Amino acid sequence: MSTGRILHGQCLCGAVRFHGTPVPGRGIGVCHCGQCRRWASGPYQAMRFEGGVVMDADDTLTWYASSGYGERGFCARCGSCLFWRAPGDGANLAVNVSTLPEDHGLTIHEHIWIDDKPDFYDYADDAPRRTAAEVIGDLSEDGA
Amino acid sequence: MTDVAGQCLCGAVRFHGAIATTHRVTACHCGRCRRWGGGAPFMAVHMPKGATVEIDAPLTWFRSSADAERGFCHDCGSSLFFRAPGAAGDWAVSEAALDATPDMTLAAHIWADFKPDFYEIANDAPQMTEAEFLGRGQGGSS
Repeated sequence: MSTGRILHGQCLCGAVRFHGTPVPGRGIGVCHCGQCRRWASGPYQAMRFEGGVVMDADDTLTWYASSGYGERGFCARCGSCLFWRAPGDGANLAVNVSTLPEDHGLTIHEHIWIDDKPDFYDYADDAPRRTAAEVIGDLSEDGA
Repeated sequence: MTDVAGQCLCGAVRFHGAIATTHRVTACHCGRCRRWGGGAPFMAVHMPKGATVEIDAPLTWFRSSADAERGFCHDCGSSLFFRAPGAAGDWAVSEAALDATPDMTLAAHIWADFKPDFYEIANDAPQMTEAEFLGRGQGGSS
């Protein structure tokens, strides 16, 4: 899991670059909802940085409000899917984990919106699977 | 062949095209696909004759290597298409962008030698390395 190491990430063309320190004790969350999959051409595998990300280059970073509770950041030059956040909440970006060097050491800690996953694929890990209702219930309790 | 339609997340890019009747999905594990998509493999169907995209859609192509370009929606960022530069046919099209996805089967993992250890897809579909997929290696499994 996290060792407090600073990780640098970037989009496919390199126009959007950023860095941060992974949230300790947290790994990769995999979202199987239809919106994430339609946006990202597959499940969305994301990690979080402590306090958000520090942007090193973001001229082509574009935000799209995909619902009342979420917006998605992408590079308008190459189309890389980079970030998900609650509207305007820069401290809690869910970052595409494959933007990072692959020796980051993070592992999958949960699957969410599992009830929206199509049948044709399954993951082999035994991390908890949570439905949309369970995730939304937790968000309401936390006020997060 | 089966005609299918699809769209990006915001709906500004709509398209249609024909896929093989067997509804095969291929998962590409290469680093470029995962960086461009959402961290996970690019899960795509094959359109032998390419897709027809509605006129004036905000579809943008990015040349990601000498051999390939990637099409995405400039309004919402959805990752949609992969093809040889300018190719009219042999498009890989995001399965999740399709309006209806009946009876899809995960038929192959490609660029399996580039898959990192932090995720594992559980099924027995053939695993093909980059060399096998490009037909340069020995014993391509399918």
